[in-house]
Amino acid sequence: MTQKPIKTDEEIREIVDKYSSLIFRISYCILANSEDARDAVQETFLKYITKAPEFNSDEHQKAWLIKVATNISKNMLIFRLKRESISLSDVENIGIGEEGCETLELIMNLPTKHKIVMTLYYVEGYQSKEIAEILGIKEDAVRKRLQKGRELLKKEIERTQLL
Amino acid sequence: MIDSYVKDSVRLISSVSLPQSEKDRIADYIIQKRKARKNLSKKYITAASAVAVLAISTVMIVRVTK
Repeated sequence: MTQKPIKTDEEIREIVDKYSSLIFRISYCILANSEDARDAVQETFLKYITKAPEFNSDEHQKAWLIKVATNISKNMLIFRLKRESISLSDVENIGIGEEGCETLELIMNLPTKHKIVMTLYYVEGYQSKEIAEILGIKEDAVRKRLQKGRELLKKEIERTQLL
Repeated sequence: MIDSYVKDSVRLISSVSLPQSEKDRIADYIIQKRKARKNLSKKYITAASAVAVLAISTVMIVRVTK
């Protein structure tokens, strides 16, 4: 089943409602700042209506949005040389309580390539083959990034528990 | 033990979400931008049509007066 490009305002509202939190999560993982992540969500949907692509399925559409959001967020990151640490008010803005702040900080300190793969795998439920297709990398690379990301996070958790 | 803690920690990201008010704001912004683009396209089409009519008319006039 081919999905035609969106035509009505209602269709735009529907698509924003359905995918904005997913895109926000991906962008937040890369940018670690809720304001910038919101800008990335906006940019992603602007690209969606400008390009007006046709999709084979819902999954195809979702994968396209993830890929575009990832590229937009990475580009935004290039222009921001240094990230400030995550603020408590920012964490409350994105739906995570005070208790999750420290853990989120540990995850955000991981290298971007590991964070994206781990988010897609553990949070969005994609298989490594699907992640490889979305990000345009080899399946082996996805598995290595998952493993390395887990190891890095484990080290960080152990280190902070020792302190 | 620590491995499951690592996995649970990553799953914390699933709590990251946008409030409904923010989703509505983004949707409004996209709809506005889309309308602006449509209006701009209409203006370009009108201008291009006018230029085309003018060009054809000029050619016709030149041919008739020769």
